[in-house]
Amino acid sequence: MNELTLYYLAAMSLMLVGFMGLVWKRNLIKMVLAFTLIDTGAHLFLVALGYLPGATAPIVDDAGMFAQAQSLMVRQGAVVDPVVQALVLTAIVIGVGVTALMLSYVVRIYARRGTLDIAELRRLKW
Amino acid sequence: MVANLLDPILLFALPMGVAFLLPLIDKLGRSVTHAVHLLVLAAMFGLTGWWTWQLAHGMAPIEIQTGGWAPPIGIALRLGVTEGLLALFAQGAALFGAVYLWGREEHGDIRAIALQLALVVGALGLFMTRDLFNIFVFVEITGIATYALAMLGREDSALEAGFKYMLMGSAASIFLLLGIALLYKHTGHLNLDAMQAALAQGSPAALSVALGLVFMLVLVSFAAELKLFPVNGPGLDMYEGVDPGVSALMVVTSVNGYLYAFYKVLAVFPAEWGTTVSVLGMVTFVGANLMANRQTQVRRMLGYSSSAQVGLLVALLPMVRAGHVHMLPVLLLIANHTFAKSALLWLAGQGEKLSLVEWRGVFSGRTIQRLTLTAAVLAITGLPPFPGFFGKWEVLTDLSAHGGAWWIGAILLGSLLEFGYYFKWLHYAHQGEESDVPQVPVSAQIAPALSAAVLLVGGLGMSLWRFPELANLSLPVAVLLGAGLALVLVRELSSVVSSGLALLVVLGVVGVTVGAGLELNTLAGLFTALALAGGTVTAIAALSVPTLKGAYHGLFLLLLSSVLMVVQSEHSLTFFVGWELMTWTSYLLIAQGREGARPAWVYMLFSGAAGFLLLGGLLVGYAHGVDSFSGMEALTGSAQLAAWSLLVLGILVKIGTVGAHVWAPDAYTESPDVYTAFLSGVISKVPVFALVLVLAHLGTGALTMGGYTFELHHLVAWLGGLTALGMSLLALFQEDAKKLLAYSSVGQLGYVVAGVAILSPLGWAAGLYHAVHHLGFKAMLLLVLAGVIHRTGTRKMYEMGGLIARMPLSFFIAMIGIIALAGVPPLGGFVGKWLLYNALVEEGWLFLAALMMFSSLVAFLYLYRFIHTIFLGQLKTRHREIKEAPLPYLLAEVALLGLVGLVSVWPQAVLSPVNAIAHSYLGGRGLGFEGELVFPGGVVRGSELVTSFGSYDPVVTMLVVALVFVLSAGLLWVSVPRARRVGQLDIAFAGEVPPPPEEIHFAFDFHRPYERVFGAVLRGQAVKFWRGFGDAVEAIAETSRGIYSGDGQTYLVYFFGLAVLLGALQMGL
Repeated sequence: MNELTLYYLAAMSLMLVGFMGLVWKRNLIKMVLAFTLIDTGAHLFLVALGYLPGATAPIVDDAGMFAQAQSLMVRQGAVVDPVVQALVLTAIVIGVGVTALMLSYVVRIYARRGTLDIAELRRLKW
Repeated sequence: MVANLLDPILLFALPMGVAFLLPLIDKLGRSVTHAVHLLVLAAMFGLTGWWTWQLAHGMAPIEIQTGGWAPPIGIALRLGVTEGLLALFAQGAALFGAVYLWGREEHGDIRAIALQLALVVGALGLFMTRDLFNIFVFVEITGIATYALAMLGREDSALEAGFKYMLMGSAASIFLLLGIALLYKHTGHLNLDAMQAALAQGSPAALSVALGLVFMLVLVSFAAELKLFPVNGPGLDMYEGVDPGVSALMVVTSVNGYLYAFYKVLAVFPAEWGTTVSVLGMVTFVGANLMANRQTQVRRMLGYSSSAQVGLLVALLPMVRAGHVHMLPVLLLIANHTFAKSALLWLAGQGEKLSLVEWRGVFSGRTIQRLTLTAAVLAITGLPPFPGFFGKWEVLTDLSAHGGAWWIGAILLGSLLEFGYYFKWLHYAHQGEESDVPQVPVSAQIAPALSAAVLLVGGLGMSLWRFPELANLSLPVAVLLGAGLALVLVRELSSVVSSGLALLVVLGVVGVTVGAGLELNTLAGLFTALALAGGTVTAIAALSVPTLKGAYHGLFLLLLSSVLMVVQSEHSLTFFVGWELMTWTSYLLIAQGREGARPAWVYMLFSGAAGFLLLGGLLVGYAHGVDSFSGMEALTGSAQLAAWSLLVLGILVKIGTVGAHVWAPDAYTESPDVYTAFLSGVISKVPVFALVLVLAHLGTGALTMGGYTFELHHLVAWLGGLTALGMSLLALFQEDAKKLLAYSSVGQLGYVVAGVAILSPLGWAAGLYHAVHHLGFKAMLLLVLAGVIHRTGTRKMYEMGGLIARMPLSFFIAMIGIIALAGVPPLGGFVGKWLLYNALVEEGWLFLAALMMFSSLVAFLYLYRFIHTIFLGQLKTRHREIKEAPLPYLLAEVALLGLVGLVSVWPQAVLSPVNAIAHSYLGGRGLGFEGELVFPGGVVRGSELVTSFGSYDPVVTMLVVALVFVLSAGLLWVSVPRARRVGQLDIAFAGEVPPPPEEIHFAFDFHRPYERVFGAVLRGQAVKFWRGFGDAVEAIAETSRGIYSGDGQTYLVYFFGLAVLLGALQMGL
């Protein structure tokens, strides 16, 4: 098993655990945790996509040069793909925001309804 | 050039900058903040408008690369015409949204304003970006802004809805992220254009498997974001749970953004995968519209509606991609949905979460909101003149040209289901006394009105620009439209002023039409004359009704214009615009009756179905490049039969032929009394006009099966005959005088239908003659009855009697009316029936002739009861002091009397135009008719009518009858001794307890013996059938909406389930 497959597998299992948690755990906080697991899995998957065994970090000081050199360097295996790393950074930031908002929802729901059970939030239906 | 100095990136920088500065701006005072908020949106709207204007006039799309970096480092944005228009819709509606939320304290704080700006920016980003990852970012921005806005609400339910929605949205965005990552891996690009280019260079098998996976991920993700079936549960909860101001904002910004982003992403996938998308969208459209019919909670109902409308748009996107449907009509539909749904949601913000029943009377006395709701409902259900109508029209014609019959069927079915719940809401909100639901602040009244105004102006403008044929309206139509619209807008104008104005307009139009030389010898001319004659007398009669205000008279003028539009055009679009205009104006007029709301709703459902059947027929024409009735002669084979069947079926439903008649009697009965006369005299003849056109151009409807040809027009004639019989029998059993005449009206149309369907010159003579004559006598009878109801305040026949003493003129006119209706000499009823029997015998349709004769006997029975019970017998004590009917009624009746007299004594007045019409339409169709007419022309001797079976001379008959009448009256006068007058109370009960008054009245249950024979087979059979049908539809809706259990986790299961299903489908492909 090579290194990459391992990353993919890890990402998949993280997401799967998350999905299962999301569907099976009725506690709101556990659901939020499950969601962060999926998020992490997705991020890992993203980074793994651009990973090249043995390559260095994509740090270049001259941006103009980088634009031209990027595809060449990736193909030659000198550096890992910087684009996905940028994406993951963005996605992580968004993930943090979403998680925080979800948790604040949980706090407010508990304050108003006195429950953390998703099955009890069923006033709106049909 | 200003545009060159300003970069569209301002559209992002400006609102974001202001959003961050809001805490500082707020120090200057809350009203400054509000003003800045509005200003920013207005500035964005202005800038976008400026660019879009230039783009539409040939400027190349503006390409922006952030920071000057090429993708993938920089982000590529594009502002083209489409993006510009979408941005304008979003910014415009968001501007109104800002007005709406101004008055709501929890949404008026700076956090909410910042979030609103973020939503607009997010939508703009989704419209403009060309970068896939950027789409993900903007999806998250709009998502987070929506979740946060929902959380600011005061209501508990907002929290519940927001959380469930957030769970679904987050799962969806992770799927999107995974899809984007996989695409990047396989193409090496994030820029959509570069990605497409890379994919275009051949797709190896491995890539296509990966692409299938990506397709599944992206589709499921957007299905959840766009609230498609079955992952729309949390979306529905949002509409129900959060403040309608927030859901409206969601509709106008993020939903449109997701829609266009999805459209852009679709370009990456093979075109044939689009079918999956279209199916998912169309299932949502039909399914959500079905389930919405079971909603009692208006906000949730609007949620279902949004799901449905977006489903339709999603279904269309792949078709636009494939070039089967134009982008412009889809944009029209988007604009229509944006403004109409936002207006509806803002209106639904009235009071706390009202259910349908609690909506009763909420807008009764609130003019602006009443008008707004009506306009918004008409717009969202796709009726003219709103953009939704023209959008749907063009989408449907585009589809028909590409063989999309199934899609067309689904769209029409879904649209019909939409009628069901929207018109239910409309009728609840309009009917009854004013309710005590508190009025909302002015800002919340203005915002929806602005949206409605945009819809009206935009719809009119777009339609005239896109369909120049609509601009060729005749002057009368244009005048009536303008005057009608003006009167509707001042709906509370007093009855005296508005009825006077309406009459003046109608008289002016009559003057203009006659002055321009009305050509009676054409079908259009004949029906124009019919409509104007009916319109004039109805307008005269309406002078005497104090309860009918500006709204009634305005709608009446609009209706009259629509009738003229229909009969003066053979072009499919103008015809259908007029037809649908007629449908909804008529609906609103019926709903003005005291108990008119429900009958109007039933009317609307049947008329809607009729309209869509008709539209289906017209679309068969478009599929073969035909856009007018006369062009349909080019259709052959199955296309001809399909067009014929759909058109005729629609017409028969609209006429109220037996089986589909259930809408008619109640609608006629519960309309305002004057309007019933017009409904029966003129409106019911418009489908007859259409029937003539269809039969003239599409022939007999020949159905060939196994070498044997059956001509379907036989069936139509028989349906006409059965209608005549069935409705006459049902008229027997009515206690309500107006309902009696209502059944009679539908029955009389049966004769017209049978005559026209014979498709011979003589048959047309019979049918069209009767159609004109029917206007005369039936409108007359209905106006007499209107006068009686006006004076007595009741419609029950057993509560009347002896009115001859108080209303002798009314009695006399009614008597003439029933003689005319009964079909006995010397009046025109006899001419019509004589012609009909001749025509039937000429064709050898003897059984039908016998049936017609029998049903005309039945008419005697109910007519006898009508005149006997109302005018003869003993006068009720409470009616001793009542007066003759008001003068305007009598004037209108006398005018109609003139019409009846004219066509009775001089049938040629109608027959010679019909002769010319039959000549021009039937002449060249090889129907055994070569231009030589057996009736009037040539073979008319003096005043005599001659057919191959005999002759009839109305003048001689009239003279003979008059002579006999005078002689016998004179004889009676001299021979019979004077009767002694006895007071009507010269009787006493012999110590018995009298039964309830109506039971001892001789007129009560007058025709019981007949009812014992026919009642069981006739009464309520059709009603039972349609009620059962409605119940079945509702049961399906009820069962299906059970899938939205309210459980957030169940919804997630649906989400993953849909993913697995689509994945499996994709692997199978």
